[in-house]
Formats: sequence, structure tokens, C-alpha cells
Amino acid sequence: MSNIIEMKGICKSFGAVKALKDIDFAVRAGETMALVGENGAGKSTLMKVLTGVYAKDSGTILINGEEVRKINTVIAKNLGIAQVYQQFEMMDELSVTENICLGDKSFSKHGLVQFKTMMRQTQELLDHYHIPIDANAKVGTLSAAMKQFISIARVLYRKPRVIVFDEPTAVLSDSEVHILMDIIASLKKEKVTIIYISHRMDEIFQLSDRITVMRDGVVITVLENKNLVKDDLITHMLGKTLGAMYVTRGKIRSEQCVLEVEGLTNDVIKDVSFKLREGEILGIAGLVNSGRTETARAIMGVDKLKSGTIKINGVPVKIKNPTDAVRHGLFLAPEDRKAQAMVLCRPIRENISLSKLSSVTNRLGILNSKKEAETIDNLVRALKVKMDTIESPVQDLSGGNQQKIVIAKALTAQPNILIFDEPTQGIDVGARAEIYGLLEKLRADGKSIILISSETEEIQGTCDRTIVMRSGHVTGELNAEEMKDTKLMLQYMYKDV
Amino acid sequence: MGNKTLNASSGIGSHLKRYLKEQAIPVGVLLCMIVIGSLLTPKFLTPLNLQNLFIQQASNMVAALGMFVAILSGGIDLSIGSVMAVSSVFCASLLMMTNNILVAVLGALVICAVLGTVNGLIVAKLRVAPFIVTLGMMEFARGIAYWYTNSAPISWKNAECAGTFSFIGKGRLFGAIPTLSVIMIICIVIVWFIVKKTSLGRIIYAIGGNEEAVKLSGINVSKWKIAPYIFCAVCAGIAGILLTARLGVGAPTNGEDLANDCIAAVVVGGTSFTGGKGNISGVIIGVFILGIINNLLDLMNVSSYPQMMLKGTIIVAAVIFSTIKDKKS
Repeated sequence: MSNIIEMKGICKSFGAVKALKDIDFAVRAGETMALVGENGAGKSTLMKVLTGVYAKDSGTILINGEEVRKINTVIAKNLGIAQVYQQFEMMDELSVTENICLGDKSFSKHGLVQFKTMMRQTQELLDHYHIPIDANAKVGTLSAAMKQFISIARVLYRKPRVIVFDEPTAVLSDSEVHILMDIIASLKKEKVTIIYISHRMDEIFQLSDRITVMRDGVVITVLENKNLVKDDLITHMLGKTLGAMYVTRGKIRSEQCVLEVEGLTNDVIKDVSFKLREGEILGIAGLVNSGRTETARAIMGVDKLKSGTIKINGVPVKIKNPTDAVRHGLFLAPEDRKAQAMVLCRPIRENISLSKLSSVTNRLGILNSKKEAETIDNLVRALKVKMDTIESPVQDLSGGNQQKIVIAKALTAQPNILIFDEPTQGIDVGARAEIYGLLEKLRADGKSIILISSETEEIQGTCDRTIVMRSGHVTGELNAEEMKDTKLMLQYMYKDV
Repeated sequence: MGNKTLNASSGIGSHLKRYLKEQAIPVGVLLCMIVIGSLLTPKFLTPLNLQNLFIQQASNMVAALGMFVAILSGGIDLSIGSVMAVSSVFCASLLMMTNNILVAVLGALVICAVLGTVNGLIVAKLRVAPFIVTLGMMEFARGIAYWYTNSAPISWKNAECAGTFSFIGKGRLFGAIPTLSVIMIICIVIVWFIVKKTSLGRIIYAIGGNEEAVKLSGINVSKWKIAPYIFCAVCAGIAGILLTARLGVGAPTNGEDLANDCIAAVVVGGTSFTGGKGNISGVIIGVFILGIINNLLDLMNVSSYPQMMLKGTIIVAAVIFSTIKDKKS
């Protein structure tokens, strides 16, 4: 079988971060290739280079043996390469048919749309792949899972030769996964080439002919899906031992519980309970969408709880909004730095002091500019923020330095309990090491920390204890000894609930 | 010691540099207008005309300061023209009834503050779009002004305290400086102090920049979001009182174009329409750019219709330049 896609020596960097390092990736015509690796391994980036969303920095792409020098989304589409996205934006007010056929001009006659023909053909397509959706239904009335099928149908409608599925089962329940498996089986019969990205091991074993394993922007190995054992695959996915960037760990200050949550439940998280001790760094591990961020948001009072209790220093507290949470000594450094943690257009100084304006104002709310500038100057100097002056807008800083500003802001609030949600996402190695150092320093000051991270290694390198989440549930708790066993951690992360 | 002074001077230098970088377009347009004005007619740069300019722009300036704060917070207030009319008629009427300037002024401002609070509460607590809320208030408050007066202007000339009150509108301090311009400058200083030197101002900027981040910082956003609307309505109230003092009557038709003029001035002055960015000097420049257009064309006896056309053109042109500049940087 010849290669329908061949990518050679692909490199792609975002600023200082090398997302793809000299990648070789080939897919044979008609095969199903699974692409696996931890979050941030570079799977999605590689696919975005293939579908023309990102321009590669270097390397060559051959489609059907011919080199494609320039690739953008339109060229990729014309070459028959299509991708089913994790979250495809839909027009809720329009029908299934209109969403699927959007952009196809073949149904227009003299500028008028032939809705009946369009509807009939769409229904035929849906029936052919046994997708249980009425072509006439309004998209807004359908569930997230059905919307996922519509975005798949949207791709199938254009009859591509290569289809990339990026985590298509993330929003699907078991019975719906079966529908998807059937679709893929029919596609295989029709000799369509499939690239399948997933975290679900069972699907990968069931579907794929071959498996490409990626880690840290590099292809580790390509495996034939014959006599393959789950554990071996996991070993390939992780491999590397703990790096030198983690600092020596301090000790937990006491066994006393500073935060205890019990049975936290809302639309996303189900019965989440855990304890945080004084001076402890507690990890929350899990895949993307496992409910980690939502747990943090629920504790902070951003999302409403249906049930559950939160105790701080043993006393039950009511947290209705972030203002209450901050008053009780909690502070969250959110996952999405740009959208949630900072006011990008305002200066560094204003961003940092926002978390505790009362520390730089008098009783009447009048700012003491001199005191503010001094305090913040010292703080950013201690954190080694690289910047022009503290008057520069935060948007001018690099990702790592922005994260330091978020940390500075959190420190200014003087909380007892800090929640860091993916503090090292999109940050280069040097800045990471500094951030890990800061976490240790905070612990030395008696703060208790919750660290949410997608990277197993980061959790292992920094945390004293970790809980693992999957689909909104806590699937396990591991102590420092057990955490060293990566396989055990992954078992919890992929545990079916 | 020497090192410190060096730092300070480079600090001021870099402040000025950053300021000019941000405000290049409005400053440039204002300077152009002044140059063009003085070339077109010798009457433009005379002390008398400049005094007139200040007197004419005083009430617009005060109202624009309120609009500036509302836009800075990421909102807008379309009702300021009607609120100004309410303030104007109640001020005149209270003068006639009580003969007490303090009662009249405070009474008018309290009524305005109440209207602003209603705006603010609906925007902040019920999360209705400020455009819609204040559009409704615009109609409602205009209705109050017409209903209360039976659509006839109220003259306060016969009130006993008329002499003192007219000093606000037409008097001159030390026989030279128009009282109105002094009040205008006091208002500018107060608003500058609030937005730059208080936690209220800091939070208003931040809410306009990214409400979500402010909320997660533990600040009660829905409480603070009320303030800009009260503030804006009180500014419109002060503007109404100044206008009443200058014109001699409280008319329910006052402030028909006020909201448009103020939005234009604020935006021409470089304040981001989505909030979070902008400074008070831009507002001052914006008000004077629009004021000078009117003033110049009046001096040259151009009728008011082409004046409107030119005004529209300059507003859009200034914002186009700013947009292009922002895209480049």
C-alpha cells in the first residue's frame, strides 16, 4: 500500500515553545492510523499543520506522493483532507440540513435555495451511516452528542479521502460510541483513510491498524496493532523519567485540614470529595474535560453547586461567589490566562493590585500610588518578571511572564489556599522551573496549594498527593509513593465510570 | 541621589512618550483644527472668542465626563440628554418655589442620581444590555421633563435669588474668568482624581477591560457596575444646571443631541468603545475638537446643516485613523 500522506521533518514553534520537532508521519491509503500521546504532546498541532490551519516552519508534506508546497485550509479541503473538530461551532437556530450543507452552492438555482432536494440528500446521508438524526430538526434542540454527529456528517457530506477525528468520543456515551464505531467501520469499507486521535485505549485497540505515539513534540514510535498490550502502549506514551527542573520538595506543615470538600455536585462534577492539609501541594490529575477546572470553579463559587459542603479549617462555609471565596482565604489562578486571569489592556501594576486594592488604598478608597509602585516593583523583581516597566500593558508580555503576573496577583491577595489551574500551559522549560520553585516557596510560607495539571510528570514532580478525575468523578487518590507509578495513575485517568 | 533624579526625569519622559503614542491622533487633530481656525479667521484666536468657546462647551464637557466613565466601564448611557432636561426643569422650578439655590441644585441632582441608580441596577443586577436600558430611560426621563412642565420652558428670572444664580451662568470670577469654565475645570479635576486615584476608578477600568478577571479577583462586579451609571446621571444633572444658569430657563427640550455629542467626543478622544482604555485628557480634547468645529463655522457664518455634515465626517475620520493606528501596533 502506498502512502497517501507523508509528512517529513515537520517543525513548528509558537514563540519559544517548540510544539513539533522534526516530525516524520506517514499514513497508508485506506488505513486507520491512531495518534496517541499525553495532552500537549503535539497531536492536534500536527493535524492542524496537515489541514492547513497552521503554517509549518519547515519540512515537507506529500499527498499521494506529490509534494504540496503551500497548504491552507482551502487547499487541504480540495485535496480531500477533512477534520472533525472537537467542538464545532453550530448555528443553533438553523436546521440539521442547513448546518450540514452550509457553504455548498450546488443547491442554488437562480439564487434560490432548493430546500427539498437538500433536505432529502442530507437525510439519505444520515441514514446511510445510521446516524439517528432527523434532517429537519433544529440543531439547538439536540444534545451535545448529536451535535458531534452533525459535525461528523458535515465532513462526510463532502466525501473526503482522508478524515481526521480529534477526540470524537469526548462528549459521547457508550451507546453513542457504538454509532461512531459503525460509521468508522463503513468508512473503512469505503476505503477512506482515517487518522484517529483519542485518549480512550479501547477504541484505539478496536479501530486502528497502526498507532503513532507522540511525546513532547516528537514521534516516539509507530506500532502495528497486533498482539499489542495496553500497558506497553502506555509505557511508550510516557517513557521519560522526571526531569531536573523540579526542585527538592519541602515538607507538609501539619496534618491539619485547611480545606475539606465533600460531595460537590453540579452539572459537570459528581460527588467530588477531598481534603487539603496545611502546607501541602495536592495535585488534581486527569484528562482535559475530566471536571478538574469545574471543581476549582465550584469551590471558588463561580459555578453554582447543587449539593456538597466546603469546610475551611474545619468550619463549614457558604461560598456563593468568588468574593466570598477570596474573603475565606482562597484564590484561583485560572486556566485561561487571557480570558479570565488578567485585564490585558491594563498595566502590570493595575493587574497585580486588583486582587487586593485595600492594601494600597486608605479607608476612603484613595490609592497610595507610591506605596503601590514600590510594593509591586519589589514583587515583580522577586519573581524575575521580564518586562519594560510595571506600566507596560500585560498583553506585551510573553506567556511565562504573564503567568508570573497571575502568580503575583494571587500572592497579593494573601490567600491561605491557592488553586493553580494549568500554571505551566504554553510556557517554556526555563519559566516552568521558576514556577515550580515559586510553588515550593509558597509552601514554605505555609500556604496550601491545589495544582491542576494535565501533565502526569508535573504532578509527580511537584505534588505530595494527588487525586485523579475522570468524567466529573474522583476515580482515585494516590500518595507520594503510589504517584511514582505512572501506569497506576494512567489507569485511574482512563478508568471508566 | 543623582541616580534617582535621572530615574525620575526619564520616568516623566517615558510617560510623555507613551502618552503621545496613545493619543497621537486626537492631539494631532486638535492642533490641526487650531491652526486651520487661526488661518481661516482672525477672530478665532482672540481672548473673547476663546472665552466663548469655554462657556459654550462647559455643560457638554461635564456631561461628556460622565459618558467617559460609562464607556470606560464597558457600558454606555444614552439617557444623559433626557436626564439633563429633567435636571434643568426641576432646577428652574425649585428655584421658583423655594428661592434657595442649594435646595434647587441638590434637589435636581438627587432626582438625576435616582434615575442613574435605576439604570445601574438594571444593568448590573438584571444584566440587561446598557444600550437598551438607557434607551428606555431616555424616553422615560424625557417624558418626565415634558409632563412636569406641560412642555413649556420654566423661567427662573423672577426668583429672588436670580441674581446669584445667573452668576453661575454668566458671571466672571475676578471680572475676567467665566464662572462656567472654572466649574468645568473643577469637574475635570474631580473626575480625573476619581478615575486615576481611587479604587472605584481602578475597578471601572478593569471591569471595562475584562469583567471575568475582575470577578475572579474576588471583586463584587455587580455592585461596582452600578456606580458608572449613577455617576453619569449626576454629571448630566450638573450639565443641566449649568445650561439652565446660562440660558435663564429650564427647558424640557434641553439636551436633545447631548448623548450623541458626548459619545462622539469620548470616542474621538481615543477612549476604547469596548471599555478599559482611555484617559480624561482625550475627553477634553474630544469635546474641544467638536466645539471648535461649531465655533469656527459660526464665526464664518456657515449655516448649521453643513456644520452637522462636517462634524459627522470628522468624528468618523478620527476614529478610522485610530483604528488603523491600533491595527498597526
